[in-house]
Amino acid sequence: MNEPQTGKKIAQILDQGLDNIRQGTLDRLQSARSASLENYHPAETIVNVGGASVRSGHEWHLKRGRFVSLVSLLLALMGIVYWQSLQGDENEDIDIMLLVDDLPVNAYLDNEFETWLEGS
Amino acid sequence: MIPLLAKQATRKSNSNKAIVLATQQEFSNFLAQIERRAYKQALFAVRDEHLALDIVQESMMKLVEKYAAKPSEELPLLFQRILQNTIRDFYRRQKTRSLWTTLFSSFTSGKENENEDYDFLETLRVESASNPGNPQEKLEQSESIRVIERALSDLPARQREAFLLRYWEDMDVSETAKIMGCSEGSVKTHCSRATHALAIVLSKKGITL
Repeated sequence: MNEPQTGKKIAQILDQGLDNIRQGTLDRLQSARSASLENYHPAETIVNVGGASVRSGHEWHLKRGRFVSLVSLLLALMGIVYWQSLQGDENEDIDIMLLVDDLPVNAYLDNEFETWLEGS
Repeated sequence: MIPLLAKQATRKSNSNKAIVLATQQEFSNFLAQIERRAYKQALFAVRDEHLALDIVQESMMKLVEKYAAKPSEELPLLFQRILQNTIRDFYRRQKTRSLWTTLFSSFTSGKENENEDYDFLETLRVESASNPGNPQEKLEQSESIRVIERALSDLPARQREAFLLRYWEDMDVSETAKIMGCSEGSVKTHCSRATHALAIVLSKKGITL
């Protein structure tokens, strides 16, 4: 017996096994079917204009919702980056003051010790 | 009213040939026709009745919600694709869950064993026992079903998927490849290996086809 024949034979036996499914399970399958059919709304999914189909309703709203969420997320990230850049480094102002000042940097380092040396 | 709308809402293909969309009744008939096989497919894969029922219900919901605007001829292929993806999603979720349960095994060790009590064969034994009368032929038949279903559950997921789609769902190689998202060559290989493995199991158990 070749492969397709064996496959078909096994499939036939599997078909016989379908009759052994418990009634409780069959009831649940039936209720699942009924529940899913309640969501049947064909008119909302496609609107046809000539040869081209234009999607509308549910799906379009979903796509727009995703786009708005993405843009909001990007704006929030940009805001965080901008706010962090405004905070800057605490020592940045001191560094600028030291560099711009006329006094050399060394003057700030150990002034009192040099004064003491000169006085002694 | 809704079925009428669906009939009226037709799409025109490039060749101006009108395609009639599936009505609610056609959806109902289609789902009634495939629900048992779909349930069994899910059961072979997840080995849990409740999970299998959840998978079938989720697949039905997705089909009706997303593909109400499709002609009835396309429903088998679409449904199988949805079903197989839902089963794969289950595997992914299970993998993530098992990672967490491994990490917190000391807290959840008591609860972990709840599902282990389930025996896949137990239901079949009960079902067979509930049938009135017990002739030899019927016993052999139920034994064959039991052995094949067990062997199918034990197959690698991809082999089982390919075999069931090709021979149980009667899909051709290219349709099966589309559903599985692989090449036609892979489908042939998976099918061949699955059939070979099943044939070996059957011959070991002394079951002739």
